[in-house]
Amino acid sequence: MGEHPKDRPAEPADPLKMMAGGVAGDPGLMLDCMVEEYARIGFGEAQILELFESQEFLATHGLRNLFGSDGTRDRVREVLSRCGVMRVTTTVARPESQSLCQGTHPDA
Amino acid sequence: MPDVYNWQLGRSMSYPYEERHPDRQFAFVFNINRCIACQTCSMACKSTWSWSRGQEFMWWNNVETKPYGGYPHGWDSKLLSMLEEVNPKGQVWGYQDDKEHEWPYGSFEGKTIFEAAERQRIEPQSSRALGYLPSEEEWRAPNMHEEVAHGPLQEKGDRPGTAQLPEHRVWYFYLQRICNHCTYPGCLSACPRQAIYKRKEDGVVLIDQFRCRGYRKCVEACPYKKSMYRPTTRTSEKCIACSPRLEGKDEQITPDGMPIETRCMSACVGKIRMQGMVKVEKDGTWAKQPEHPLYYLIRERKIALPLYPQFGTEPNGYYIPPRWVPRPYLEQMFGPGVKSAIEQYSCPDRELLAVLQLFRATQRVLFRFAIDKGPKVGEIEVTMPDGKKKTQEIYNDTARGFDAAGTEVARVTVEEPTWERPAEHLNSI
Repeated sequence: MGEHPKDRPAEPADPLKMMAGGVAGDPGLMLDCMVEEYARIGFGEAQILELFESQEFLATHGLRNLFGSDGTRDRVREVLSRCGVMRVTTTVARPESQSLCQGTHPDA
Repeated sequence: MPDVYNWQLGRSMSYPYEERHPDRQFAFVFNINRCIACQTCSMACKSTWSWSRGQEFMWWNNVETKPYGGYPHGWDSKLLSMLEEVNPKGQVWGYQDDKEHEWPYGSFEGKTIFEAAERQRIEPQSSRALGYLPSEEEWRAPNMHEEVAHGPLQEKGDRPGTAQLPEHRVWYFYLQRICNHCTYPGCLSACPRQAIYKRKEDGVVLIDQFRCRGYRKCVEACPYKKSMYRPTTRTSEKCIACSPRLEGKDEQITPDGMPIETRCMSACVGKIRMQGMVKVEKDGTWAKQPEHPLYYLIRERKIALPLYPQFGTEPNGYYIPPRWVPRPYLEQMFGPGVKSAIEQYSCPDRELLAVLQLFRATQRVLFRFAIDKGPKVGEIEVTMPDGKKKTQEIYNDTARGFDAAGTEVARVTVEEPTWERPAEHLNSI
């Protein structure tokens, strides 16, 4: 039995596969920017790491695979040590009362 | 063809119909930087509007992976290649910093899809825009070949080891797409039945299902491929901007009659979307409304940019470009405004940071914002586009959002930046 086709590396010249070709870029910068994004809306270290550990989120999980679990955590910590986590308070009006109620979920 | 003015291109262009504009225009801003492709928007739209027979491959809202994918497959690279073929090496922007003119991104010197069709003298004459009809195969799977994860099967409650994504070892980003409700729609220009119209009250582009005969000219001409054919009814369908929610006429949805965000926007868990309606002058330019959040982001600060403005339809969907993506790729996609947009967004000043907090703060459509300024509460270090670090000042400011009636419906306060102590040092002093 040979290797399974799914394990073979992608070949950009394969005419039957719309596979990705390499494009110059920096995945580390991608990771840093994503961490800053979520810190800006109040996500802490645990929540941000969940985005990377969960297979549901393929971009962030792909970065986690690239840097490794420990490497990702170290990098997330390093970014958060610089930018911190923004504490934000949101207050929204309920349609029926028009009064502002703190902590209400916007979809409630 | 008559000449119409396209402010995104900074010049007049040919369009099959005379220039006419709505009183207000439905528009939206998507912040690409924050999207993790959870596809909640796609499912919210599909479960509301396109779950019936004949709509199986119809995704009015889709999120695709760039630069690897597209729905239908390769929609943008195909059209860009066709334009290049018509006007080799001519699809360029000539940037001139001239405040007297209405050209926020410079002046486009190439051919739009309408001008390219004129140059090509495409037959039959009903083809008024350069385009193509995607094959059934291209429509079939919205995210085919973009992210094919594979790994060990998980047991209930397990956190699995890894998912393999061997093909994506470099940067990529997610592009969220709905109909752009263009000012000069390609679909509308091409319909031989004149079944497509743009509503005067909000600029939403709709297909009259009674007039449509399913010739699919709109599918061919829409450069964004957001008009889709339904074989069971033999008509074309498209995003309707959730018009019942927008109109505020459904008591179940909007008890006080105020416009509510579309399903895709209101379902966005990543808070990447903001929609609104901007006032339009008789000549098609946006009325000056610096206190309108969309006007502020798109026209004042220019951090949200139109998708492929060079197609010439003046799309009303705008994107805050992703910070980590190489510039030439982004400039092809969003025009020459990319550099300035990313620089501002990477280290937002206090006003911009406050407005950005209003994204998805409420389901109501915001028509105005105000900022209550507070004291400086800290400084943080952020990553700039070149990878260098820059200090950003944080203020205890409050952004307030108002609905169509001028009632305050959301208030977001930036309290302060906080730092978490790592678990191993929790008790350290």
